[in-house]
Amino acid sequence: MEGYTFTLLIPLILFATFLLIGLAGGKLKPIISGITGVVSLSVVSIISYITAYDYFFVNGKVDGVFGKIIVYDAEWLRFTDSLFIKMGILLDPISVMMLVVISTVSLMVHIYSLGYMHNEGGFSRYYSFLSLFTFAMMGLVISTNIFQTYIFWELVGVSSYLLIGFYYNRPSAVAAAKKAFIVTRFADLGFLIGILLLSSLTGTFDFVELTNVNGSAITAGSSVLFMGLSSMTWALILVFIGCAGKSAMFPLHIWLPDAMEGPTPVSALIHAATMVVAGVYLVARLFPLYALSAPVALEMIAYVGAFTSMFAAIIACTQTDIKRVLAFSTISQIGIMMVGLGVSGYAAETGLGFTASMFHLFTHAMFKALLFLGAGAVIHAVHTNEISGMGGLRKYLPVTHITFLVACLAISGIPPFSGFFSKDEILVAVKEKDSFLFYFESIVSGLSAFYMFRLYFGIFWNRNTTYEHTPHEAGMSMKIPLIILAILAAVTGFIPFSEFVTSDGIPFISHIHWDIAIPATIVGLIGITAAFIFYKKESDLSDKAAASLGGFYNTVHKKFYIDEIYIFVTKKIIFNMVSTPVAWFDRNVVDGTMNGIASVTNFVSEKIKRFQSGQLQQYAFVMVTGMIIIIALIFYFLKN
Amino acid sequence: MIQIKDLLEVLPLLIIAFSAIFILLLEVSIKKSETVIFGFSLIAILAAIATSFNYFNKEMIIFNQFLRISNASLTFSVIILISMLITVIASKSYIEKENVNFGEYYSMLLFALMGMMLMIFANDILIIFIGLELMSVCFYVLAGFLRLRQKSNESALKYFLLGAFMTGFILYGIALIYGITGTTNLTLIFSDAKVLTNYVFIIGTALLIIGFMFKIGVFPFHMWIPDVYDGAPTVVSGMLSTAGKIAAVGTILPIILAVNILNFKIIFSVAAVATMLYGNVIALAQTNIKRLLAYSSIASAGYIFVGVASMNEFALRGIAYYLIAYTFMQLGAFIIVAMLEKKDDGSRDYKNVDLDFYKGLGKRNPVIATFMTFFLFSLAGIPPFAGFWGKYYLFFAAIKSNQIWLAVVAILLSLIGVYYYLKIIVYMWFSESLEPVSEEKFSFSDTGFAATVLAVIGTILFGVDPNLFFSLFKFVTP
Amino acid sequence: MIEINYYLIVSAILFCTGVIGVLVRRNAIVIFMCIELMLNAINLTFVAFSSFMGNVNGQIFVFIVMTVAAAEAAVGLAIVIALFRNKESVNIDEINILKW
Repeated sequence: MEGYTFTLLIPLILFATFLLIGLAGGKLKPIISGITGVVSLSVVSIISYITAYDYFFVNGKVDGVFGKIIVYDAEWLRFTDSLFIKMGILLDPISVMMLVVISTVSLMVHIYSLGYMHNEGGFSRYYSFLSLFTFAMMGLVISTNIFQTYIFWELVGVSSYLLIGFYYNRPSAVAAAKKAFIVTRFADLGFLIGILLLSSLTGTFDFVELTNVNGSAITAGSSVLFMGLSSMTWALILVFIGCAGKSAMFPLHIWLPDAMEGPTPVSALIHAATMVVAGVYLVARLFPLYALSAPVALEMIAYVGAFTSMFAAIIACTQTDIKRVLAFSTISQIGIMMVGLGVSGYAAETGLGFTASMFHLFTHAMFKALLFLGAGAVIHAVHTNEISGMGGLRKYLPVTHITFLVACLAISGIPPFSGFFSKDEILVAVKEKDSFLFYFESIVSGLSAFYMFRLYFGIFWNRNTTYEHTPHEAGMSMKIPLIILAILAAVTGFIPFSEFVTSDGIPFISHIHWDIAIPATIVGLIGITAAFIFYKKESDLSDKAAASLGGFYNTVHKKFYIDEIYIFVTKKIIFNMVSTPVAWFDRNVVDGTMNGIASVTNFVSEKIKRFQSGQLQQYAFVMVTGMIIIIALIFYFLKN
Repeated sequence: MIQIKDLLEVLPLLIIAFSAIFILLLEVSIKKSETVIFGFSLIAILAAIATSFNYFNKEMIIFNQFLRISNASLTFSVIILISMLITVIASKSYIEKENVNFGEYYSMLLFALMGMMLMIFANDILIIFIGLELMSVCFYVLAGFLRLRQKSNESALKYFLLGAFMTGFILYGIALIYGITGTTNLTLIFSDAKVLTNYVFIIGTALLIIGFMFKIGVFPFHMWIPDVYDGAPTVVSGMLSTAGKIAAVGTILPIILAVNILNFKIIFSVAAVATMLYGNVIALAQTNIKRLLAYSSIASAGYIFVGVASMNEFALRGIAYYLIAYTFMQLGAFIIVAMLEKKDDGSRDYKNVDLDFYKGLGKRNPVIATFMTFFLFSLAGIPPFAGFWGKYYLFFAAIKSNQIWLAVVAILLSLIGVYYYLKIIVYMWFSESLEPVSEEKFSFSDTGFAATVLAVIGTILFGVDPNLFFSLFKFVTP
Repeated sequence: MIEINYYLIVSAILFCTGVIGVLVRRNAIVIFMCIELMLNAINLTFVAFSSFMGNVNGQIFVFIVMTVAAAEAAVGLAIVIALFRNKESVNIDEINILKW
């Protein structure tokens, strides 16, 4: 449709920026590369905002429905007469929403990096990779067909590999980059087979046709059974494996915590707000297929998401590296989004889960990016990732402190911050479907409040650590993104999301369900209180218990009693009995299995290469044997 | 009767044949003839490529039914010509570096090229045999061209003995086919459907196919590949692994499709899986890049056989696409290895071919390292490089022939490949150079660089626009 | 008139002798001679078929095979000589610097 052709500029500008900085980068002054990146991203953001405004408020709604608009579609590859691949731009509520999310977060990260990376080497390289990544991510969300998605999906993987391995002189960063690449590649295998299966079932790659409720794609492949499930279900499960890899669902989550080896702004961009939600986005993109022709697959998504969210939340409680806490928190939050999708139905209000999940994706992108950037500011100030090396920083870093607090409140679901609204919607949707999952997710939500405030108190309160260099607030380029994101994290919850983004494009009105919101808030507050008790003050838990025993005999006896229980329950039961084993399991069994496969293959390789002995006659002997076997086989087949 | 106008129909073949002979004359008649010969062979190959495009969409059987021109055979012959073009360009600086700058090197290349084209255009087993032997004999010589090096000698001897041994089996197969049908003409042989049920005929065909599986390097007939590619001059290894393989595939594929015995399908599938497994797994443990590429070429033979095993109308497209992608990426990688090799200092061994040498290449020589990265990404099958589409079309063919398991296994095994290709990339970009760095002599005036640029262009061009290939070679959409 | 089967059996036996020779002999030259034996066994097969069917194609083939065998011999012996100069041995067991 004409009118939106200017959106073509989004990928073009980004790609041109990548080429410009990438090719000319060595010759430019580093700061010029940075400014170029920021300027191009600003332009892209403005275009995205105009698109969003135009789509949501002016032209997008036709007869009360937000439809899919194909802006541009060029044939790229022809397989058969009916099966071909196009490259194009598709606008619909979720892709427009993603445009806004990606451009906003990416712009913030670009600005922030000006300050954060200024005394690192390879400034130009860094900015060219950032542009490449943003380009790939934009291309992914505006895909008109699943094949285009796949191609950009791989490109996103490659650029993320480059960014994780940015500090290439650190062996751990290189290992992490390799691990991320190989694990996601492994998952993409499922994705690719899923695409092939899907295309051979439906005869199309096109999203519009695939998700047309009245089209043939919905019913295709529903009758053929394989191991009790229809082949469409299998295809969609395979696609989900790809999503699970990118979105770090159990057991393919192992790459994400290691990926924190990359520069912190990169973690904010890739591993919080954009790339990791690509899996959620793809499930949402194919949502009508999942909801209408493969409910089993959708149910599986809900349970995988739920398990992952709990698993990651428990591990997050035990980590001491602040970036790893955030990484596990991301895994947990994405799990929650998956649950939202998994419990959702299609159309109108039964599709609340879909809306809620997208809403949470949106708010999460803002507050998680803020958390990472805040963590980056802290690391920048104290030069360590370990929580034990921090404390009392509120005096030194007032801006970071306030913005970090806002983000923590948002993620904990405290009104009126954004996380409250989106989490509430998810919980409402979950409760309608499955009350067990509801309680399960409520606990996760409590846990997330706990570990976030553990982090918050640990960094900004706790003991007054003495620092070698007095920590000081970073420059304006780092402060401004923090402030902007904090404002967004605080207010975006008031966007009436269900009036824009719904499963079938028809807006509806949703309300806050106070019967769920109030208990959920209370659970969040309990988590915060627990963190407050344990981590606000200077001493650690065991010291604190001792102090209570010795000094304040007259203080309320009960408090001591509660402390004891807390200590027993947390330290003895949760930490030792649950969290530590779960973390151990993650480190050794899940990770170990993956590494094990690699080392077994290597071992086998070392062993069987001796087969290639260099002896000519042995070669001839192998060939003659092979020949005899083949001839015998042929005889055998002919006889039958 | 052979008609004079038939000669016009095989112009590319004639150009190559005459220039091969003419080069021998130039060699003896002009002093300091190397540059002239180089230019001459370049022009000959370009002329052959240009004239080839006249014959598309003109199916014909000529020369007393000895030759057959079809779109498929033309496609394969153009791919071979492209591969040879790149090889010739890259060879100049390589053989100068190795001090074996003799005119007969080019002559050998062109004779081999002629043999390959002959067997691809053949419509008679006799012609296939002549072409095959012309090609093989030239290959034996080329593999041993660095005759002062023991590795090169050994490579040539192994190739020669095993190749000649296999020739025996091919001939025996031909004799059996001849004994049953009374003819060696392929059109006549396949005109009678009854022979397809005859045991002796099937055994004969099987032996013929096995002989070509040897040339392609399919398990269990792949054993010679690592040793020969390792020992042969590096540019020649690149040529053997691309042009040699393409010629064998292009010759045997029409026969396999014509025989179309469904029972062969399972044998091909198993052979394909075994080949991919063997190539990819052993490649993991390699420390020498030439050997690593050799094992990767075995794995590629496995992918090609995934296409062969599907035996449907998609197979030809898939294989042709994979082969052109493979030509660019594999040959490109070998040429880079050749360029970085150290100049012969009388030590009589290849220098700088250890993987360790590639550590930190990105910092020492970013341009070359970038190109190598492109080739390796393409070999690993990562879009948007040509290798991805090659694999895609092959696996697509397998799925279309209802062998989904084969496609799944193939994708899984190609994943192992990603691991070792990535290892080299990591070495190049993320590792520090080993001390002391054995400095490679490299300049942009190196003709190898021009060849690499060609290969990079091909890898990217066919990766970004796969349709280009199908429209160029007039593939009809099935 | 001797039946064609006898010719074929004789040639098959010769062929197998050649194959076994290639697999067990250690001298590169002898291995090469065994390959020549295989080729000649095939020639016998061709001639037998040809004369049995009264069709000259097979005999033409034999000429081509002989020519090719001669060409191969020329190249093969040159390769063996080049190797012998460097290695001073034609024992196939010792020719294994390329392996793994």
